Amino acid sequence: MLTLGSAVVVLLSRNVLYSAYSLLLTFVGIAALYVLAGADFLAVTQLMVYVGGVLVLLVFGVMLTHRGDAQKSVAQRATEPNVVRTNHGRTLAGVLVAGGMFALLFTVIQKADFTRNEATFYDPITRVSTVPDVGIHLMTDYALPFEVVGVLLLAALIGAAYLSSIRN
Amino acid sequence: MLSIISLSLFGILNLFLGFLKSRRVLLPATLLFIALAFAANLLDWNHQYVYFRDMLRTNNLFINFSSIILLTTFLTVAISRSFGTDEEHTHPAEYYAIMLFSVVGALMMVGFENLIMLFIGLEILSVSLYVLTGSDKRSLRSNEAALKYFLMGSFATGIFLFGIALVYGATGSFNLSAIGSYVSGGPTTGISPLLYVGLLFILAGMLFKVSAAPFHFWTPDVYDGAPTLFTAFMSTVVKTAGFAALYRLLTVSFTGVYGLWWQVLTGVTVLTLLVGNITAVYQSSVKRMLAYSSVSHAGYLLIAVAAKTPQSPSAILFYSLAYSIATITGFAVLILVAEQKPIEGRPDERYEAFNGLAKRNPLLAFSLAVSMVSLAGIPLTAGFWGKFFVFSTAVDRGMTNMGMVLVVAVLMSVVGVYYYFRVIIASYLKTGDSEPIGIRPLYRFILVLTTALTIGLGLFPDVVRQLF
Amino acid sequence: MPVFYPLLAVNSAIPLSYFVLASAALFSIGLGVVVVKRNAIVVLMGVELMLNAANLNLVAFSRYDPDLKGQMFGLFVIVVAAAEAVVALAIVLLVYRRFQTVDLDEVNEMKR
Repeated sequence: MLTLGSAVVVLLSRNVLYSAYSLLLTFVGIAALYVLAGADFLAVTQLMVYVGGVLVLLVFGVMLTHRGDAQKSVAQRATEPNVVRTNHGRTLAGVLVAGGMFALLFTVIQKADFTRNEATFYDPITRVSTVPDVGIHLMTDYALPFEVVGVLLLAALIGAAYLSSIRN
Repeated sequence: MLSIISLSLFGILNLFLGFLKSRRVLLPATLLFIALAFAANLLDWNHQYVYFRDMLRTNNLFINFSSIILLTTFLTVAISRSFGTDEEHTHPAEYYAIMLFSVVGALMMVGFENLIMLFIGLEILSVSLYVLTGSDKRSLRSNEAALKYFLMGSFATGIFLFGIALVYGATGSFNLSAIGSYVSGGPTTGISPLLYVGLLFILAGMLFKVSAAPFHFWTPDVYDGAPTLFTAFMSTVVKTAGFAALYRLLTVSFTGVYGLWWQVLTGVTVLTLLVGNITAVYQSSVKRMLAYSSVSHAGYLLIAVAAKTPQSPSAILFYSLAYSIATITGFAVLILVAEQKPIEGRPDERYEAFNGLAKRNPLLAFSLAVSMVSLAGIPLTAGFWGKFFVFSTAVDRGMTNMGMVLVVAVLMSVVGVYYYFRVIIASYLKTGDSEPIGIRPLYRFILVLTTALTIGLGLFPDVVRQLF
Repeated sequence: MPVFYPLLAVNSAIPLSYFVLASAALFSIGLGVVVVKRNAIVVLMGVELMLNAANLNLVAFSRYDPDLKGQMFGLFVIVVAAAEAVVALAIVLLVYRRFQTVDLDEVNEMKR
């Protein structure tokens, strides 16, 4: 509920910073859902990467790209409420798309027979913690993606450093 | 597999080469690296390997596709120049390294056996391309294109990923063959509806990446705004890799639900062909025209995927090869011609810039003409056989299913002839500037090579086709 | 000596369909954000919501998977999303430096 409620705030708020803060709540809520789904390692990763990294990055982005009104003096600007606003466009289309998507997924999920899943796949988690399993999988079955993700990170790092370096 | 490992290492090596004072080393070094990877790739010919607990699978099809990708990359790097002349704005080491990394991603998309590898490969390719699109930092258009490409691309990634999640929910696996056996094995309780929706989402994501209508709207702006060299890279490598991945995914995993996806794909094909070709007619810039034409070529390739006959892989291979070579030639000539007379500080990419090209440099005009003729699919060029093989897969599938698509495709090929010939007419029949255009030896060599390949494949298609 | 987490013991009480429904709702909200918002950074937030929704699905389904495949995929998704966010911010900064705005309707050089 917390997760969804705050996600709705991201959608509705015009203030970019409010959106960012409610995104924080959403991420924390998702981490909680991970714990409830028995994925404790992923929950911690979620907290560290999203809340600690991605969100800080986003807030930095908001701050760095906030255009102060150049005509006003510093003193004038200091008295104004410090809000960064975003415009809404195509609101109707947005509501239609989001609503339609949810309706579609809702009907599909209603039709899907999850009891079959419960019966055939695996009895619900009885293990204590997933950390050891995740570690073992990462080094055995998933060694190749693990290595290759390194290439991705390297490419992203070089690219980001290159794009944001100021040498004009 | 060896090619993937070697390319990753070469990319890193390239970065270190960037520290050297002399920048001249970089271009030959990168070309050498790609050639080495190409050779390493061929070593596995006629062997089947499965790597790392079903993560990657290499077979002859993989080698064929990756050879095409490496060949196009080689050509693209060869026509790249110093990326501008001033010291401040040029970082060739970074460009080349990112290009090599993106090829790693493309190769993984070709050989994946597990959806994780597809996802990561797609992301490596996309993230590298976002950066390359925005690499001309001084150009407003390049920046805008990067932003649009990123937002649209990551949006598509989100949809694609949600699709994967739903398919996992239905089948309980990411392994292609495991999904395949679930789908065609017919579980006792019937196929979960999650699978259908998931498949549709995955299709939407993939079609987005290969710029098929109605997911093509980002293409013209991005292709137009990106530096021309990277436009050439994007419109060839991404398409080849994307179609290889799409074909592999649909045939290995989802053969069991062919009845569902061929209808979706044929609808998309018809739309893509119509939109791509008809909008291309109205463009005044050659670069934008080539962007729309790449949309329409995605449509032709989709025919072969949707037909899904035993001939389909070789048709896709031949078509991508012909298309890639011709496109690279077209863009190479465009780069040279557009640079001659900049308008408002940016290259002149209008049709008028090509006026009188035959007198200014006969070689440029000739190779341009050959590549355009090949893209239009006129006999005696590779493009004709590409279209021929693609259409014949559709005929094999049967006229009741594919008849409409075939009619549209043939009609649209005729429309294509019109806008491709506008460029040729401009360069041969109209008069313009008379000052000659000089070309460097490597550039000349590449143009001669691609033109010879296009004509050679047009005359003797069987030479390559036997390999496929 | 394994430590017992009481929280993990509750997990079987929540039916899978609740997770999937929540994830569907999140996905739709993310989609809505992407379509409606005109600020590049907020659109990025929408994309992150969509990725998170997919991840939630993966994790929820992996409860019934002895190999934890879904969780492993989820881990890689988090890494990929972080890499994407980095590149995104670099591009947004680049655009901002040029256009002095991150409003998507105003970043429109090509139509002119």
